[in-house]
Amino acid sequence: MNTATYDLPAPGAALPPEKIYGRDMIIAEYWKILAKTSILLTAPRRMGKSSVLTKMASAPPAHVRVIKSDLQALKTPMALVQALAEHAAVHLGVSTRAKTWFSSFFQRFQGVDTSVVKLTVTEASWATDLTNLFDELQRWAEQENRAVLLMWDEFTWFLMNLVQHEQSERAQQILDLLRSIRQDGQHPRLRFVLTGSIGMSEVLDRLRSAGYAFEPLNDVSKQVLPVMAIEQGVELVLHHLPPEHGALAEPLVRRCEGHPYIMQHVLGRLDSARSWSDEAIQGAYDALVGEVQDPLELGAYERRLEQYYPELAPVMRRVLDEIAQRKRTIDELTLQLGVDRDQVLVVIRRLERDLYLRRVGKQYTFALELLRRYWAQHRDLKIRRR
Amino acid sequence: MSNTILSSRFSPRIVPADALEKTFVGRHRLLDHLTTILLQSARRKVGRYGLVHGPRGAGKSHLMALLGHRLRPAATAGELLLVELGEEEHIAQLVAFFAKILGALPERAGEPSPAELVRTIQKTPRADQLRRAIGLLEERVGAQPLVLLVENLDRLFDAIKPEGQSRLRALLAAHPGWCLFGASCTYGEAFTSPEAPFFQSFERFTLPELSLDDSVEMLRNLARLHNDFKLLGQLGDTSGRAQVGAIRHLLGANPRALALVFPFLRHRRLNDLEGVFLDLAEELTPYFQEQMARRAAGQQPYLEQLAETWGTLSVSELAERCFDSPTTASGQLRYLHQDGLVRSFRLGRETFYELADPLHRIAWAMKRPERLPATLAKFVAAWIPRREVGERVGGLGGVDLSGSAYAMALNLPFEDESEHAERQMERIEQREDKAPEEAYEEAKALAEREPLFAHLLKAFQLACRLGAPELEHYADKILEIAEVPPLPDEEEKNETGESTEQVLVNIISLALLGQLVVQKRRLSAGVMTRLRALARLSSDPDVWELLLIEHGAEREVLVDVTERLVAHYKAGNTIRYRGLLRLLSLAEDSELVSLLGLAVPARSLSVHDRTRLVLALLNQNDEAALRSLGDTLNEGARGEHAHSLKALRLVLIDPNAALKIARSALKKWPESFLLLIAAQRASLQLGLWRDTIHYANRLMNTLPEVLVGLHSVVALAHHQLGEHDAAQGHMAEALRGPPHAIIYANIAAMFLDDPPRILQTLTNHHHPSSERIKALARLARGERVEPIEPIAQPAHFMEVFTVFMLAASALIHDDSPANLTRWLNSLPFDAHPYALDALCVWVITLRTGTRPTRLSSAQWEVLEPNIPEGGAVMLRALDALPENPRIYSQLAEPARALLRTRLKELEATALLAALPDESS
Repeated sequence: MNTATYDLPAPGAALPPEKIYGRDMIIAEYWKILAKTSILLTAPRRMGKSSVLTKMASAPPAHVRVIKSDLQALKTPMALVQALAEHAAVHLGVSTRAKTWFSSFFQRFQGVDTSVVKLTVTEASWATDLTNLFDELQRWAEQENRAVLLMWDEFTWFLMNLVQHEQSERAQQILDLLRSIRQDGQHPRLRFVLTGSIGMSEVLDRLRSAGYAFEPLNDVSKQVLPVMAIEQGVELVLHHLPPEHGALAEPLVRRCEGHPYIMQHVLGRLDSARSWSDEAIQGAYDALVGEVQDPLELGAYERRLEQYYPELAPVMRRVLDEIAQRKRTIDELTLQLGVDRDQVLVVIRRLERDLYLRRVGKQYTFALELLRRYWAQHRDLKIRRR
Repeated sequence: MSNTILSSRFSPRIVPADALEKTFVGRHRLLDHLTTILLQSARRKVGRYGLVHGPRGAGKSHLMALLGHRLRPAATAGELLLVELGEEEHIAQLVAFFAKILGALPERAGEPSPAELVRTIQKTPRADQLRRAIGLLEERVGAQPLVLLVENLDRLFDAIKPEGQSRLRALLAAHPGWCLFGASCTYGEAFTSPEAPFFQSFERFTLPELSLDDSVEMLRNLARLHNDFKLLGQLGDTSGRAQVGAIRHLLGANPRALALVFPFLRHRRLNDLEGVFLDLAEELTPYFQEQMARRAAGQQPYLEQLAETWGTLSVSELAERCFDSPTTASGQLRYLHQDGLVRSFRLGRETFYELADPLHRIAWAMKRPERLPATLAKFVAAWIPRREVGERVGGLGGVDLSGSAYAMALNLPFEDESEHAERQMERIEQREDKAPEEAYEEAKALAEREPLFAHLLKAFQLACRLGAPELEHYADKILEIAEVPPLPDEEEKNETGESTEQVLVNIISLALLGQLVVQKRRLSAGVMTRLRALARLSSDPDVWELLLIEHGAEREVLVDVTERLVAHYKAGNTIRYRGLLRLLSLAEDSELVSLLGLAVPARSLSVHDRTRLVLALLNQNDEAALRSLGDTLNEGARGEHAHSLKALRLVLIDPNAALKIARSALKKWPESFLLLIAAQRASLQLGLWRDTIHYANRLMNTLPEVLVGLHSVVALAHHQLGEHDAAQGHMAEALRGPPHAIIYANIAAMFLDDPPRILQTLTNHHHPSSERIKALARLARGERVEPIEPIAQPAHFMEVFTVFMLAASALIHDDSPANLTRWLNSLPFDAHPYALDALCVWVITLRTGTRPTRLSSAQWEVLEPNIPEGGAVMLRALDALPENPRIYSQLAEPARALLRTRLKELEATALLAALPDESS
């Protein structure tokens, strides 16, 4: 049986901070930004957002206290307030005043399961409670001469949950409240990292269609977590390769385009086959793209179009078909598809925003070569080989 | 011992671990891998989420039970906490799941017992239960690694809904040392929807079907466990193996099906075979009825149709039978597929479906009394040798046999074996066109009963025709016959016009090439029928190979099939490379040779296969692939081969070096075909026309079959040297041979600036390629012509090159923007990577006056915006130049000057730097 001395790759799993590699540079950059303003951090799923947060939370600058919350499972504004209060209490429950405040706060909720709490119970007070909570945090930060960083993982998910459960108005109120906290000059020691794997723009689209007319996040720095640069990717991969095969790290990172999840999967396959070579890397990569079982769930990219853009989906697929075969400009696509240029523009903007495509000069190509290959293969397109 | 359960079909967890180990086959590597990763995860406190996935009866519970068994020592040693939740656990809520986990944790001295913890949760007010359960769990597990093995994880996820999944995911994310490994027979939204909390979180391990060897091994292990040495022996011989093959075919290749038939095999209740069948069907019926009842009403007809069909159906066929639109059918089938009830195969653009669990068919027959005898007949025919059926029928005396499965299986009473065989053959032949599947069933029975050459051949032919899995089995059987049997009638020919002996020779020779045999003419009878039949077996690489050999298949299918083969071979099966590459190279299919050849490292190919590969790449002008092969191509090759491989590889990359190597080696091996090819191609590349002629002439003495292409090359070379008579002579020689795109391409290259001459030369030549060139020549002469037929893939680069050059000539003669646009849209820009280069270079060449015709600025204005890529076309060509300095070096000086100016305008300094130095 394999008794590896290196870390066996674990695609998709939650990692402890000491096992999160290759993100130090980007984290340093985020701390610099946070010195000035809050961050909205987005990326497709499995790019490593949560890992970046875990790593940031594990070793913040000395003057920063991090309060990290995962909002994915929350369904109501009240649940949000209670979760934040709980986390804050754990992290900051040092000042007597704060202790008193938190204990009075919790007394009101004893015996109430906030995951299913009804709006009628909480409607009156959640916004006040949330504002009070921020005030408390600001006071604490002033007292301790620190800054408080509120990390809200899957924030966009939480908002979408509200929107989908007919609570669009609550979602708008939360966004407005957060903006006023950042802008009112009363909470200068508070910063936010808000993350989301479903696009914030989708949430805002839904809110706008319900009549919301503001830009609630135009004061935060919008960051898209990138794939890893070669050196960072190599740093990660070297922890998961038998030491004698270290030379394969760079080719592997290049093959996987620095995408941590794909790298983990390829590494997992090498390990499972006990075979480490350039050919094995290529073989594992090809299998991930080509296997009927679709191990990376790349099919979701196609299904998603139908779900989010039922009307645009046919044109979107044609655009992606074209681009899967070769890079295209807007004009070429217009000519090739015989559709209105404005429609092509709308489609391209959405696909670019949703990270299907990226722009290279005037042309568009797939954001990931892996995705292009999958699309071409899955859609039975002819691929130009050069 | 007598009370110990040795094996169980539905509940592996009640079987002792050592017995489980003994009957575990085919998945040891996976089990080792899972054990390793879980142990390491626990020791290093890194969470792992895994999912063992496979249809019902695939052996998931068996694997999970063994996994638990293997982790137990580490749990006992206190390295981890292990919780196993088996199939019997029915959990409807997340809090119940946590309570089960708490209840399964080991007792600890001085702490509340697991049962007490569960009671604590039960007594907590409902609204606080979940929070309480999580708190208790976190407290109890503490910092220890926790490994959860959960069967039917799909059901748990369905029950706790996305809300519960979110809570669970958040909990796991907060505890990186916790591992969750599940087993599931469905793979639904909880895993595949991007909105699902666990999307892309689980590493999936799909259980493959058991191979025939694994199936035999499993049954032998069971026999050993039950001390049934008689059965053990029977299963070890050829007929036992064949019988297991039949069982696999009939019941599916999964462990549960084998475990189900084991008791029947053991007691061999032949006198009550109908009873055995009915018992089996009876046992299965509630299980499948329950499954059917769980499906939405719209999905049930699809399962029914598939259960009635002993094979696959396409989406459109299913839509028709279920009175749905193809879109609705696709949707319903996708749900069934996600839930593991059907399997799908893709071939070309069509998807075919079949039942994931063949046992379903038997259970289905129980519901339709009229289907029962026919199903039973199949069962009987596959189950026991025909002779035994005969004995059974004979023993029935005066019993009325009408409708009996035995009689149906036998289909004919017989007094005498040979007479019966003869009559059966007659009947097979009568039915093979109208009802090939029935004929095949009968032929199989006959071949199994009497494995004579003629019977095996018939079964083999029908298997080929239907693409049936026993194809290889019958080919092997035929080849096992050491001596060619005396032919019953030498004069007798089969339907393809070949004597039986010829057929046998075919089988043997192709099998020696590592191939199975196909009688092309028979298979060509109905392409679609064949493809559909083959689709059933699309997981079988042998069948893909059959498709490859059969070049009548659509090209797209061939490319698809080759790509799948490549994937298959990359997984480690390289045995048949040699034969395949040889066959493809015989078929002159450069693209497929390169596709297949590049899939394996060059060093693992034989020298001959490397030669095939490099020639294929050369024919495709695939410089990039040749570069990527590097020195691995001639690694381990010696002597002439080493030199020729090296020279051939360099022809495009560095023709000077290639020519030098080839010339020097030709001194030692003057007759070497490969070295001569290298020298000739390198000379052509360098525009050394005299040398091109010299080496081509030497090749003509060596290899008559490439004469045609060589004559056209020599004609082109003489033309370039101004030796028009010699050029004329060789051109005439080339045109006398069989039509080939390369001839017309070389002729077009000769007379690029003389379209009337092209028309005159090719007047009597009608071939898609010559017609295309003639059409372009007419257009170049200013005539209005319908758009040309696109070049088929793969196109020879020379053809693409000349067609585009000719197109450029045509373009500058045509002042009608509409006509130009029409034309440009019809040009096959994707046919070859160099197409754009050719067009642009030629336009530049023409425009700079190196040829008699000049582009006026007005013409240029028409041309530029009408090229499909607009101004980008120029840039693309320029982009390509550094990769193809050859093109650049072939340009006339004014063209080079223009290019440099253009690059400077574009500030393309990198490109500029990449161009060869003009002085050199």
